[in-house]
Amino acid sequence: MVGHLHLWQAEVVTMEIQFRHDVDNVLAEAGQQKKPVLLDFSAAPM
Amino acid sequence: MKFVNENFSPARVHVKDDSQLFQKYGEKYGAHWTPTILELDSDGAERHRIEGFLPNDDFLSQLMLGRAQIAFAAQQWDDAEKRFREIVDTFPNADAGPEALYWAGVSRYKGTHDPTFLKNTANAFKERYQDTTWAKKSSIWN
Repeated sequence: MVGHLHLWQAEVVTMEIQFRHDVDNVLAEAGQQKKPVLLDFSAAPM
Repeated sequence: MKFVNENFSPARVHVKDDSQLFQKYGEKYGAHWTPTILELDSDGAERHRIEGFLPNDDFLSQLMLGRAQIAFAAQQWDDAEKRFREIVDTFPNADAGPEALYWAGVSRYKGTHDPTFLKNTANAFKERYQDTTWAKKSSIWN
């Protein structure tokens, strides 16, 4: 139960993030904007 | 999550729904497990990696650690130190705490070339995080 609760909390945390899936574009734009990238490899339900 | 949206361009590669991207970037960055979260600098170089689930405080402190390491790699010493110290102050009991304390001292030293700050860091480890690898690493500065 505790494990399930933690997984649910993690889902809530990452759901608040506006992830993009066009990774090629994100990386290209990051170089232009000098902004770091958070790249999440996930198997969570979308 | 405010910290992420303010500090990063967030992108997600889903193992099934983005299978071609997962193959491409999984191979490029050596991501063989999920969740794996990489913090990349603006040139795409990996600066920090989080593999596996973490509770919220540990997760956020690890994200902050990676962002501080990006500043450190860019030789932005003041910004890096500020970010490392923020981790120690905000999440003193997280696993990232001792590592952040160590690198905060290194950042200050790199920005000033004053070895006093390394000694101060070693002394700080006598007060907290005594049983950590980072305390051992700093012990040479005494």
